[in-house]
Amino acid sequence: MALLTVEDLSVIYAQRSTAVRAVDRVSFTIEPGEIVALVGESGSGKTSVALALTKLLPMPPAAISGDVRLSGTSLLDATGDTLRSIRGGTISYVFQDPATSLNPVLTIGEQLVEAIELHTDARGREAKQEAIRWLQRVGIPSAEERLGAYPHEFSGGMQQRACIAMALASRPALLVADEPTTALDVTIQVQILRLLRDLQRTLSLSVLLISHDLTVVERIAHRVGVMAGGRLVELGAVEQVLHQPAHPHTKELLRYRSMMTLKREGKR
Amino acid sequence: MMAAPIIEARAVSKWYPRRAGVLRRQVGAIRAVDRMNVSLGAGQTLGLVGESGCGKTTLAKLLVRLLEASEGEVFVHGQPFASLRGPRLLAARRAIQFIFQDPLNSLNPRLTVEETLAEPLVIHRLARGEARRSRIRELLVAVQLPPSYRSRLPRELSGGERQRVGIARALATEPEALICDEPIASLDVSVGAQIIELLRTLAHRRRTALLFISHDLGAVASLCDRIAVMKDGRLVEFGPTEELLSRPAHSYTELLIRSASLDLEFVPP
Repeated sequence: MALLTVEDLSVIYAQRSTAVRAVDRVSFTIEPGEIVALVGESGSGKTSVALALTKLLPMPPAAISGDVRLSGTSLLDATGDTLRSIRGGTISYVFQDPATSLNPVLTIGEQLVEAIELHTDARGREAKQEAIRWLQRVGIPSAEERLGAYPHEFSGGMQQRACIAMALASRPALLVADEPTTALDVTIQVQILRLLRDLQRTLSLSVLLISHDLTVVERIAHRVGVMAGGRLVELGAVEQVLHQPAHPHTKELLRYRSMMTLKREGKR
Repeated sequence: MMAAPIIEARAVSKWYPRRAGVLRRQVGAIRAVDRMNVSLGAGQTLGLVGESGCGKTTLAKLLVRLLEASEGEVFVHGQPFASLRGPRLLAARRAIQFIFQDPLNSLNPRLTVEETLAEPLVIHRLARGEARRSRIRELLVAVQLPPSYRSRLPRELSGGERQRVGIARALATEPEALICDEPIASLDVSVGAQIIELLRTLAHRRRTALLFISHDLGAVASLCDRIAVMKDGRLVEFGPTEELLSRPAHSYTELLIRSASLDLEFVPP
């Protein structure tokens, strides 16, 4: 059975006189241990899908309709404490800009321990030990000392590693990674992508990856959905969509990519 | 003798004081740009690539004298840029134009497209009256915007359209060189590709020299004949695009190339 089932998901933003349909009847599933990517240009609705899963959109102006189920449980019906335990717990997020995702006045350790105590049974010393283990897992050296560091003492790449640790520390059923490498330098992008891929494999994570970058998708995703104008115009295995695209919009995205990528050596 | 390059930086440095303690005494200097040499000749396309903080934007600003160098000198047609005054300074500024990363913040929000494009024509006394209006129409055609856009404000334009206006404004003075600082970094891939196409057309048809500054090696390689790689304020490697990509001499260049193609198996030595 699919872990996540999204059926006819729509997000409409009501403006003064008009309504904008940001997401238009989008349906897809994510199997356990699978990375599914949504790719598209800005305004295509991909981030709205990611946020709508846990109703992380201001309502109003947003109105969400459709059916979203995680292991059979409806997410859009969730409210109150149930919704709070889903957000950051069952479904956790890694966002584009780690600097704004982290709280600047709390240490990395305080934020990590908070996530652990909020969403798992670990408390006190145990939670702290768990926090150290997570920092080690995401490749932060001298993890114990770094617990006391503030976000501004971390580089952008290290901040994003800390965000990934926080997102995973609650043992989520689904990780939503929204442009997790976009704000980083290329050399750091590669490190963070490699980390995500390795963690996904060792922990058999289920991931919804949001990206504008087809190469990012190609490197780590299993299946990909292409979004344009709020619609999911194509959905399939990564190799199939990128090598035999069916929809004209996908073809166009691939054409633009080929104009801008390094033509140095053949595909591996 | 060969003609002097349009613009040339010779051992140019820019440093900022580093202060510490309660008295904020200067304890050292941060070398944002460290003895950089770079030159741009007529019709050349040069890419300047590096990661954030490597000094590429500081160098761009030094080249157009938006910043003064701490050491070294910038030459325009062989003349020291810093010593130019009056009409000769104006001529140098006309010859070298700048395109900014963020087209929204670099356009005056209260000026229509027509007013924005008229400014350089007024400042440099290039055209008035009907000639000015027809020049503005030509500029819009050159950047592939419909003439009806004349009366629009920046907020009524998309990101790509704004960048086209930024390019049109730069072209208004018929510059010999365009310094483009991350012109596609805040644009969608498809829009960025169109801007690259536009710059390529300008470089070919008008023989405008381009200094294209970007963190995106793929974009740089698709446009430029030669590439300079910067790291920590210094020039790491410089060469013809194909050669540099196929046989990088410096390990940092190799790392950038592997990273640009998101090669997850590559682990730097």
